[in-house]
Amino acid sequence: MSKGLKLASVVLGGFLTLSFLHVWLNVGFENLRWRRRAEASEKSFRVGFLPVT
Amino acid sequence: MKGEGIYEPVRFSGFPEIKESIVSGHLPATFMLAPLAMVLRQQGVPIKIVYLGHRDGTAMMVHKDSAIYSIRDLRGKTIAVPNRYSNQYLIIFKALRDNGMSVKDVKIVEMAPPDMPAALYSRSVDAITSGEPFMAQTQLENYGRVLYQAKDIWPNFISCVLVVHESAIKEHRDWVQRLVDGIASSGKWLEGGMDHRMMAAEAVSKQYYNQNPRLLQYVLSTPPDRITYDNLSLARSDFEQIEALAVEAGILKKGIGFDDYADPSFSLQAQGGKAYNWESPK
Repeated sequence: MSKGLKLASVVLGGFLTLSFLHVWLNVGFENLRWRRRAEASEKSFRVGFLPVT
Repeated sequence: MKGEGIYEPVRFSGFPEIKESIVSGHLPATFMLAPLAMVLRQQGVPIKIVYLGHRDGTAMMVHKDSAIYSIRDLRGKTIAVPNRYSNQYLIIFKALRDNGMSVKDVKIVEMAPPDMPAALYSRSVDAITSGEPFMAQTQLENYGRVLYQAKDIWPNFISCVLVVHESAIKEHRDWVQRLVDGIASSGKWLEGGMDHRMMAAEAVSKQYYNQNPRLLQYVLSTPPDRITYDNLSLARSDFEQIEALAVEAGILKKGIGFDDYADPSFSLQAQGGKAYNWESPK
């Protein structure tokens, strides 16, 4: 493996680790919007209406 | 019961927003104007009409001091409709045609139904037409007069229908059926006596419509057949009538049929169900 490739791997690995730690510590995986939306749509069935008969 | 409590009513104030919500997939189901649903289906939106919301329940109101007493008096006047793709528009088209006039003889503007009473009061329009209770509101507040009730021009008039996204039909067929069953049994319960209608008016006006209960009580009783909730099954002949009129009025292109935009299977399965055993929350 060339020196440049090693460096790129380390930088990418560090970036992914920091991103993972940020999401885990500051956001929390259970609060991710897409996950909440998916869970909500599993449990509810939205029915639109206008307040007319 | 499995699935009980899963339904989440989402209130809107205009049909354009409802249209966007079903097109984007935000809503799996909604009540919508019948011709609007047909037009969306023709445009390729994967939706199906599965049931009716009610029958009749539409009027045209004019200001009580206006000189409009017949359809012919509407010549040159401005009329507000909920949407161009509505049966309210089609009934105007029909009424004008039957009186030797056309929609070119009037000015038609689109307006959200909740805004219509104020527009009539200020006389920024000459006539308004939509589903209740906004028409009756002008009567109760003593500035509106009925020009016609839709049922007198178009018996068994259909306004709003229950539309479901095809993905919801595929993935949650049992939920759709339970919703249709619930509407059917609630309709039967509503037709079970005036006391039922009054209880419903009280509960619905507070919990869903955010309106004065007196208004809904008036709408559901004056006269008692102003709105009807039985016979909500999908009838091919009803929709073919709407389809023919919509094509004639130029709001729907030829080439779409009942089997394209409707799925009567839920409606057929709901037939024969019993009235909902409902008691008003204390």
